[in-house]
Amino acid sequence: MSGRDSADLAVRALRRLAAPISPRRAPFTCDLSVDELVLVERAGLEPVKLVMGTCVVSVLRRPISRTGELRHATNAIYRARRLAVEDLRREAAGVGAHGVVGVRVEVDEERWGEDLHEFVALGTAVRSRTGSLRTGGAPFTSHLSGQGVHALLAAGYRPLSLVMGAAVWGVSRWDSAAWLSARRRRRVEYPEMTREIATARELAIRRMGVEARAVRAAGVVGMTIEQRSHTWGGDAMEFVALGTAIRSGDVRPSGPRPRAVVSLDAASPRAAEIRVDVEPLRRLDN
Amino acid sequence: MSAAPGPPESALRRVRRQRDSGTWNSDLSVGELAAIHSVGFAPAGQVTGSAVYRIAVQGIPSCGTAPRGQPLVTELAAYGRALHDVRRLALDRMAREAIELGCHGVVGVRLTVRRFDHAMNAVEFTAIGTAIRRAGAAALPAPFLSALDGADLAKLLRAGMVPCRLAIGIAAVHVHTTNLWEETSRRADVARTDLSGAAASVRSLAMGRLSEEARGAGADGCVGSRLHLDVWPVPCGIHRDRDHVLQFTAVATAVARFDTPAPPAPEPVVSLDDR
Repeated sequence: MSGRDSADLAVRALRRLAAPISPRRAPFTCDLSVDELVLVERAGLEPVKLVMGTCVVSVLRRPISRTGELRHATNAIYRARRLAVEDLRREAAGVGAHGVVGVRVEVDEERWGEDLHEFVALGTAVRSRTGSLRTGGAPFTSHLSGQGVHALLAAGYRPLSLVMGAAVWGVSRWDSAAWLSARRRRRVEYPEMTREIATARELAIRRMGVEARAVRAAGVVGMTIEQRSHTWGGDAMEFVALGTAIRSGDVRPSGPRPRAVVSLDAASPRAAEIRVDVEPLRRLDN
Repeated sequence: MSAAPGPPESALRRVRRQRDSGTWNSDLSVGELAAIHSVGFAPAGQVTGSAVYRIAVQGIPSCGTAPRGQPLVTELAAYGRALHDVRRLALDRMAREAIELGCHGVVGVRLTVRRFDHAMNAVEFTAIGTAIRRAGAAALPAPFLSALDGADLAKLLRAGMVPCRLAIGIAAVHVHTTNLWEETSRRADVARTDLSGAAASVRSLAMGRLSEEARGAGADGCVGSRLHLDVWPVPCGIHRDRDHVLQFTAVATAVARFDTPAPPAPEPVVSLDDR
């Protein structure tokens, strides 16, 4: 951009502010950064409204007598997340949106008081300018950021919905004491604990897969596994697998082809790191 | 609000001294400074505004008339309005300083809240930002305010949008829960639709106000929203129940569109920020 052009930018911007015209439409609200806003618009989407969904759920304390899944807690927590996301989707549908991007679910276990868990889903409802993402049904939901959605659409895919799977695993006090004391006699690994955690995590991922198949997805991108510890009458671990189910779009991939770049400014992750600690030189006579 | 005094005389003296000295100070990073220059603006100095208020929750209703089994949600309108007005007052004082400096806008605006240990209920609200100007351009009736940093300002202008004001939406409600709910939740895992509903209503009140403020400024949208829900339990005087006070604060930068630029070809970049 030449100097003259950018000088005009400030002048034109100030001219818009000096003579405020009242827009015909209500202003959009969004949960996007400026980078995300620019990319979302470039992907042919326009933000409509910041949408949210809330579910406060009370989960009872029941004594954990044996190690294994706490079905009541899994059900309560999964249902609360689902309700929060459905609440958000309903608000998006109410403003005529075609989808919600950047959906995240925040959990708070303290502010409402004892035993009350709050799940808040929030994201930005968007409308498709070209109509390519109009499904006729419910708006899509995706946990991908504005950058992610732009890249996904450019690659020729379209988001379908946020898919989740949960598993809450209780570890009885007796078991954990037995496992930990076994360490003194045997090896360093706690094999029972490894097995229980792996089983719980697998279960959460499998349940997410079931949801993805239910919406006939080609795959799930950006999967993350959240792990949280609770104390409900014992030690409990919550595993939540979360991702965006996607399908090939009807439209051909547009925009620039992806290119491999070597970044000059950001630190790239290394497989191995060599650190050299330099000790201060010591004087011999000291 | 028009009757409220402007910035203190000492602040105005500082600003005038800064204006006449021909130099400026700010908390801008070098990258931000370059970005602001690249779109035709120049920084003119740090500007601040503050206000100390006595703010206390008031108007909590009696639950004596509440129908059993129904949650009672009451808006704490006076409290919510005070929280809004004090922020607006701090922002207005900061804007006055920017006008004294002959500026067109303030970027990187941050709003902070501070409590004092020795003075109960006294809360100080402070707005701070960097005033910027475009040499030779006519003065605006009020400078634009933006919570975005200098780099974001440049990106926004290149995308054909300009910040116009900081939109604020605040609401507070009190929710009284009848013991029907408490008893049910003591027996089984239940979704507390009474509390979820209260959270939804306080949020929609606040977001509606944010939107209304943006519309009043002739904006096309809001970016960089900062949302905050505060919840605290309060005892109910009559029943043995847990009541809650909910306070939702939303602050966003309202933006106006002045251009629909053609999408530029992607080009390799060397980022100036460390994100």
